[in-house]
Amino acid sequence: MNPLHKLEVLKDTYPDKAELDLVVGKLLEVALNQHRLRLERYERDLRDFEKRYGMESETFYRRFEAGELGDAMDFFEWAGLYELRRDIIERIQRLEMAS
Amino acid sequence: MKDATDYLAHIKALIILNPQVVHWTVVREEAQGDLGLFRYRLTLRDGGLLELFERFQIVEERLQVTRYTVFIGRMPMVSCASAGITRHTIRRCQHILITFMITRKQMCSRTDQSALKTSWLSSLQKELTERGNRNAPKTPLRTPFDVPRVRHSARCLARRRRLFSSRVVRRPTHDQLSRLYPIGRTQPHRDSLWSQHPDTLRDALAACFRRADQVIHSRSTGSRSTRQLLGESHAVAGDVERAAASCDACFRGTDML
Repeated sequence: MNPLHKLEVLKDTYPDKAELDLVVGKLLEVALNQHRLRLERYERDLRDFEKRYGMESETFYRRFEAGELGDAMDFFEWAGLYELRRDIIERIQRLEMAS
Repeated sequence: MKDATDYLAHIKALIILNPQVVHWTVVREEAQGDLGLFRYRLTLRDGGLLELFERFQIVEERLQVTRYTVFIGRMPMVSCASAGITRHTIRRCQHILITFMITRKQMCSRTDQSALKTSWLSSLQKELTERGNRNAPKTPLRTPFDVPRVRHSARCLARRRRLFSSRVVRRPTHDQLSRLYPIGRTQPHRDSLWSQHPDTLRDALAACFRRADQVIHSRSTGSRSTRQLLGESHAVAGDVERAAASCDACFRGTDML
């Protein structure tokens, strides 16, 4: 079944808005926890890169984007992680606003 | 492609099924909804190393690669073994491998396999010609693994011998190859199988990886009971067996020919 259909079923099952809000709120909370765990992992890995290369991630990203640091594979991975971290922070903010 | 997990499963299936790859490790792999990245380290049949990185996004079921890099190295086997070190000499540019990478990328984003094969072969030919190879074939190549043998001049060969005399990586012998590939299924045989049945094998393996990823994901989030996980693990094992059976069926089919 399509997830949107599942949501429709859920909506029909809980005609009371307060009850539905509670159920959806719990789902959002689960998603939020998953995202926060992922963010923690990203930050741990970013710290590893920062220690290894003696540079803050923000500084690194700016310099990497400006083409000052070369094309080492580690730098690509670091930049990718930094971008994923930025994206997950946005997702977390959206989830926090919704829950 | 539905999402990043789907694409990663696809890539892994392609890597496993590619006869050039004998071993590979996952350095990093992330799938975050429609965003993702991977960094894989591959050991190739000729002893070469290939490290790939991609940062990608799936937009409306279409793949967009936002960052992409590849490093190709050759392991100096003799000197590494004698010195007890694991240093690899990283080099870029090996025309055949670059083309191999391009093929892999195209196979992920295109469905027309015959057009892809033609375009890949023509790009390989173009690449050989552009690199000043006087021995580049004048006639079109017939199969993806029909790679022309490069002939070096005597002066060039002497220079190469001087430079790499102690750590030359030789082409694997027939005995070595038959240890890697079971008897009766020689490498050229597998190469031709790969070119004939890429869809069946790739799809079967991609399905296995998707299932495996789902199981691993549910395990990490703790959202499933152990009983369910066990059942799903068995299902994945079943998928793998079925994929292996379909591979065997393909091999047997052509053995009989």
